[in-house]
Amino acid sequence: MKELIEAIKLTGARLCLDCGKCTAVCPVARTNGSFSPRKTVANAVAGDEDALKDDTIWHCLTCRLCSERCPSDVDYVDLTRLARADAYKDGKEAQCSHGSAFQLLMRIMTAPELKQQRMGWVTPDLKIAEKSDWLYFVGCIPYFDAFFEKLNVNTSEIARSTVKLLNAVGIEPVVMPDERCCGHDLLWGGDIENFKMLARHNVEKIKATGATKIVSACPECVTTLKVYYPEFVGALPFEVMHLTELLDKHVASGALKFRKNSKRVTFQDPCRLGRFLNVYEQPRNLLKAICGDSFKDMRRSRNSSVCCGTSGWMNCGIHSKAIQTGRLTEARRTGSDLLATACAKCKIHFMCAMNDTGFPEESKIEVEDLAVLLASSLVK
Amino acid sequence: MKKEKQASGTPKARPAAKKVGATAGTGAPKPAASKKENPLKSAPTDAAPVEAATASKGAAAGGARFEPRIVAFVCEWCGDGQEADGANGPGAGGTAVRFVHVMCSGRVQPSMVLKAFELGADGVIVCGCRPGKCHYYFGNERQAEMFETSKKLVSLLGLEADRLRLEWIPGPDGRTLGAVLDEFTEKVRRVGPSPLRK
Repeated sequence: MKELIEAIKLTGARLCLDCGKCTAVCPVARTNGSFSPRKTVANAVAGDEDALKDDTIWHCLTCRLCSERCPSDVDYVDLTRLARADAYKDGKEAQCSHGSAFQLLMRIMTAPELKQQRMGWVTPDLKIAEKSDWLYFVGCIPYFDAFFEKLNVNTSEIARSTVKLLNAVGIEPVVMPDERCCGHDLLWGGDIENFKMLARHNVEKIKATGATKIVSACPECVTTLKVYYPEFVGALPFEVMHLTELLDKHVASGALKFRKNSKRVTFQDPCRLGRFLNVYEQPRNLLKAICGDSFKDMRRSRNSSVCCGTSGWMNCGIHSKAIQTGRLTEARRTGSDLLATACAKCKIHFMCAMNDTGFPEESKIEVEDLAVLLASSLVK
Repeated sequence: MKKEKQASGTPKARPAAKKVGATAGTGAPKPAASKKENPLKSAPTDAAPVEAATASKGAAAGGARFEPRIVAFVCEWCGDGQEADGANGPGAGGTAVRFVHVMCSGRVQPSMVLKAFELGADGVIVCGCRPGKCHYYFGNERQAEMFETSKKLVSLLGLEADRLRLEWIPGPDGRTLGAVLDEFTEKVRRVGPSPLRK
């Protein structure tokens, strides 16, 4: 309980005005009437011990849309994170629709002696260096491909495209064969102990490569490394950025050019890239560089963007599917044929939703990662 | 060994793993002080503290052979009643196979295989009914599909392919569960201890 009182203080929950804007915008509350961030905060502040201990703490998507709207800057998402860490200590865990397969993979990756065989995606045309200032942090992409083979998500192509794009701007990055998961899902699932082990391992290995600039195509990896590693394992001797941030600079300077096409495209802002890292313009600039004026934003975009419906492999169910169906319908209504994402998980979740029986045919839309779209439009 | 019958057949790991080995030597025993209860760790040492201590002395002297920890997910319909064969089989002496009874091999998701490895299993085997013989018509076909995923994940993690196996019982040559387990145990013994052993 002491930790929870501390969490209420840290996140500014006491400043809550009880206005209910958080619940009004919350995508989960819209589909699941039993979930209400306002109620949770109000009860927690009023001293209700169960408010931050019951099952509803696992429903939050941690998408930060509520904090975006909160007039008092209450950090509900961080409150959730701290409450989950507390609940995890009591032996509680989120329900995962894959039997916690990903959490298990992450926990297995904490074993120091593990020698992963994760470099299978590297093809001979990709230029990778042994030693470089730049390091490409791949993330769990190889595992996604193995697990979601049936969905045909082809996430490895994101990794290959990333290296191709880096090569195109003259960067030959280091790729670590012994990279471990960044631990994002463990952190948000409350398993702080194992998260720290992964963090320490990754920081140590990155330091050993001597790289000073880390680039990743996964917004979750970037957020975890940039924002949460310093909080848990101290200051980092390297800079972390998302691929779109790096490429945008090169497009602006004219160093990077793409073949134009006239595909009608819209964009899904990943929560971690948008509301956590404030990267809104860069992916849009890049999309406009390949499809010009045929790029069209959805009605709810940028900091008002709606989450892809699941986070940290938790609580996928009818509520997630409702959020996903709504979001894909919104994407289709822009008149676009293609929904670009900048996060492998957004792509997986949307493609999974469209695979369901009963998914409305008129809402189906092609989903592709931004890195793949860009790499396939590179001027040779 | 007296055979205990699982009442409901719920697909859940039994709290105390059943031992097949006639003699109770176990792999490298460690002090039982662990934060979370690990069934793979506690069961053998609890059951045979004396023998375990002897085994560790033997290992210190460099003479003991490696006893792998095996987790066997066994379908109730094909594997039921056959553990006794494993107990008395020729090569089973000294090996503790932990059985996890499931109603159908189709229940064994990749996450269950991963969980066994996470807890420190040296080998994991899934046993189901022969093609066309599934009690639920297609459970074993599902297992065959899921097993491909399990195999890929295990290989990405860098664990040897020999640590994971899918077997239909009885085998094409009529092999029983006991014989299959004996042979699998021997294979895992040759691969050596898992890097995830705690």
